[in-house]
Amino acid sequence: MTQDAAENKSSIGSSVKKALAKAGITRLIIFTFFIVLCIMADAAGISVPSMLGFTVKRAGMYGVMALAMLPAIQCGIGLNLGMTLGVLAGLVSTLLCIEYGLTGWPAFLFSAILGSVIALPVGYLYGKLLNKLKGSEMTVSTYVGFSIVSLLCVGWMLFPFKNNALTYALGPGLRPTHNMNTSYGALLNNFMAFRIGKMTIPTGMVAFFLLCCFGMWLFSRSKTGTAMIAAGSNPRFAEAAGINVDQMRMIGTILSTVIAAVGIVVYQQGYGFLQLYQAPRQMGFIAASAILIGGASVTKAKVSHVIIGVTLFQGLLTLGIQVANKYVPGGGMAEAFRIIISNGIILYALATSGGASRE
Amino acid sequence: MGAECVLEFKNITKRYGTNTVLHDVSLSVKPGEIHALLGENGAGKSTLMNVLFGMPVIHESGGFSGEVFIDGNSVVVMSPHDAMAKGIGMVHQEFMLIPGFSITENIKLNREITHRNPVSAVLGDNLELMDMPAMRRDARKALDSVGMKSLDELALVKGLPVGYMQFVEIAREIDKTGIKILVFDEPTAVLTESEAKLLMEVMRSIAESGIAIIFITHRLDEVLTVADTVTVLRDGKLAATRQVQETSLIELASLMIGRTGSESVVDLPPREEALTGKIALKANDLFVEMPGEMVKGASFEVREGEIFGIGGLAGQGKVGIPNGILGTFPASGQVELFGEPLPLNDVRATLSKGVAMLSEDRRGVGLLLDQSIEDNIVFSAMQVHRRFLKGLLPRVKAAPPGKVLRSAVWALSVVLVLAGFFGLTRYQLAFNRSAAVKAYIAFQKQATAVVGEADIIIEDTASSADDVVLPSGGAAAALEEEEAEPVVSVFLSEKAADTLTPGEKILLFFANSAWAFLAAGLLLAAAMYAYQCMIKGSVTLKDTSGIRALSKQMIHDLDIRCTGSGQLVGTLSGGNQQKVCIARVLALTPKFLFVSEPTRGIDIGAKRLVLETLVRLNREQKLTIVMVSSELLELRSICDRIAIVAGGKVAGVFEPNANDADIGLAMSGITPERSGAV
Repeated sequence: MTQDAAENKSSIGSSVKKALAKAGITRLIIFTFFIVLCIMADAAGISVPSMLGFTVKRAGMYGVMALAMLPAIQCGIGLNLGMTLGVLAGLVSTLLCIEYGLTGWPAFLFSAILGSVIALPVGYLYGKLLNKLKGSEMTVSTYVGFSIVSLLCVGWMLFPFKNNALTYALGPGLRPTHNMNTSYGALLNNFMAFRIGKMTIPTGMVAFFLLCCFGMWLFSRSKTGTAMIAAGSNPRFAEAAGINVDQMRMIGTILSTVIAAVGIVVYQQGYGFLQLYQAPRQMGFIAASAILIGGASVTKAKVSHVIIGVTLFQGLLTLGIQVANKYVPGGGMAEAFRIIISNGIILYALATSGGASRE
Repeated sequence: MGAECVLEFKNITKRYGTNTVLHDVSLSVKPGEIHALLGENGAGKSTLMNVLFGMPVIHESGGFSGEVFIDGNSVVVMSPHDAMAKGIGMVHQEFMLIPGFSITENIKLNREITHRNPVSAVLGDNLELMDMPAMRRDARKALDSVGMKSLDELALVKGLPVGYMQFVEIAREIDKTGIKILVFDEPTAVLTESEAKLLMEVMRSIAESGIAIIFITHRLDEVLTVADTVTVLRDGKLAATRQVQETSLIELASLMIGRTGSESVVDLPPREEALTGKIALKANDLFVEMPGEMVKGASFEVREGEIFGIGGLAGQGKVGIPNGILGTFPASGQVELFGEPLPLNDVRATLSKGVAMLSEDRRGVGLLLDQSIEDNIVFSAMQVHRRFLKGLLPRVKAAPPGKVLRSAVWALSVVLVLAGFFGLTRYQLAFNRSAAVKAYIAFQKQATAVVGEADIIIEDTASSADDVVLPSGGAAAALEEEEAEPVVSVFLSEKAADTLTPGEKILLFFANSAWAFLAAGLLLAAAMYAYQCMIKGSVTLKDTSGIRALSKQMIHDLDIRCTGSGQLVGTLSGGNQQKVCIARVLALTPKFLFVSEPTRGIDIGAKRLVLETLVRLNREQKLTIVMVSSELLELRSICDRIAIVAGGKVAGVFEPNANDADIGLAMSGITPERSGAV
């Protein structure tokens, strides 16, 4: 008993150190950077509250897509950069929704549900592929994502969509950008939205995102969920407990693809536009870096990582671009900064977390 | 002895921390002598060789005391490279060969014979060209001297039979100039019998050329065949040095095992009732494909209620037995558990029949290091027996719906969804075919001809098409003017109801109620699924309070030293991790328990506790236990019977107090003919 007490005492002594380690050095650095940006923005005369409002809006927009990374990491396939498959399923369902001329809540639900339904078989085939190529999932999923985007560039030209709201007037093919206002644009954003000073809170979207997170949290506590996480974090342990590891990876992959499909629908309603052709290419990277910044590694992730990560990432992006534009004048710089900042964050997140997780 | 010995160890002592692994070991080797080094795993053979080769692990852990003499001069070998320069070579157990290189290249690797050329004259020696013919000649000579006369020196190492690789390895060492001492680290482990025989001959001829050979092995018969002198190490101490002519198989075997004290590791309480003698597990001709621990036709019987030990040297297959029966490695053969055949290669089925296993690879297989103690403890029980779960949905006590009802509901929901889609598409297709849209398109085409700029046209089309989405009076008007046949619901609805044909009425109904159909179909399917889940209770969450209660109990019972049941397992010490593994196995409430190397890598106190726990489980719960261990002392102290595995087979089953020599012989694969075997 006395030894126990002694051990407890020493653990209290090192609790500060532990808390620091728990918060994660990467997250702390990024958070500090975020605070510095806020101060710089304020000094430059940018309204910080309205920027924070934008941050919340963007976090809600990208949140569900970042959540799609969670089951992928948990089941052991790592960062699912091929979640573009799910994104494309969501795009197809939204196109059908516009094609059929649906509006409002029916439009949103139709796109989300049909997107998920399309994502199921797609995710199944993708999962089969990943189970055959264990060990190099990151590379495979990256190129699956790239090639399917290119393949669908052909598809967008060939699919027999008839609604003139979608197609080019002359010749076949879908136009690259579509306004969502006629279907479900800003539907969740405006649902019970309210303002605090200069900050607009898109209640519906944030609530939807948190609802999805809650669902994933519940899943992670279910029998299947615990089995999936075990299969991801230690396949040999899972096998020795009689778990079919391939099946668990399959469940994680399908889940990731389905959530990505719902994610793009949420994204489009927040963004107000549907973008085709090369636009979905980078979605996987944005989602991956968000969850990495949140403290996840390539092998371990929690719901909290998604929420923290997506907020920090979008906060940095929103503020970073504004501040950079203020301090470095010149119109053409905005786009360059956007690319430098977003890719820089991705690289930083990958470099710090990818290294630590591979013991 | 002086300079007549090429190599001499004098009073070598090596400690890792407080653990003495070599204690005052001295031995000397003469030129041309084959000196066998014999001992169990962990007897100190590898450490002695590490000292000889100056491996970094020795110097990093504080060096050693004692002296090494080579040719009578006291030396301290600082690195393996240094050892090579001093004329010490090693034939490794795992081959250090590059598969994609030819045999010649492998033999001459890093000792290539090179030509100078203009580039290397300027840029340094590293760019000199290789003198292939000279290298081939050397390689040929080396291969010939190890008896590989038929082996092409330009063949790639990749694809060579395993035995040949061993000879290439030896050829490489021989090719080194000035080699005085050659160490063979269990060279026969991977060889066939005839290859092993050839190897013995090669060793002899090498020794005859004046090179001293240190021959590390477990196989007693090989020692007697080839060696001149044999040194037996036991628990880091020198057990004996003998001339081979003066010793015997039996003597060597008992020297190798040697009983270290009579005291038992744990107190063994007597059984309340004698064993019934019924068979709990019967394995017949078991084969297991576990790399490094292949089982090749093991047969044994375990009686109900006993602790059955499985011992043997590393790599002989003892660890493969529990892994094969559990199903974590591919196995074949017949296994019966309590009289029923046990399916092989199906972990889930084996576990649900009440077999559990404590893995030898604690950190790799036994634990989820980044999860909490409680999650680790209940994991298997939750997955295998569905315990520690509670329903998320309220449980409904009802018979599950019949197959007919079930399929009817599913079919209905599919029909509803399809009807919904049908309605939507009708709506859309008809809409696009409408004359109004056609008129717009025609108009835009004219505009294109006039303006001739694609960009503007696209913009225009988009906005006009958007307008069309909302059925406007204008569109309807356009329709009437054109007098086109109306097929579209929106347009249909503009017509007076009595002018519609029956076909149009149906179309209108589907188009207008498409959404109702879709929603009804999806809701029906969801409700059906939820109802089924409620009956089966299949949507479940972790039962946190139940898990915590069990974990607390286990932490108390097994004395797991931790800050709480939520502590991550990865932060615990080895002994406490092993206790968590035991707790996880106990949570499964097994009827038959495999325990594989339960005390590996944990300190004495924890070791004792682990063994005592096993004995207690056996005595109190009448649990049948099979314990696999490399430590014979451990097996002897708690087991009722001990099987010794050698070469993937059971070489003998012994009473725990059996003769050292018999067990030692069994370990080297010789089934004893004398009494003592059970």
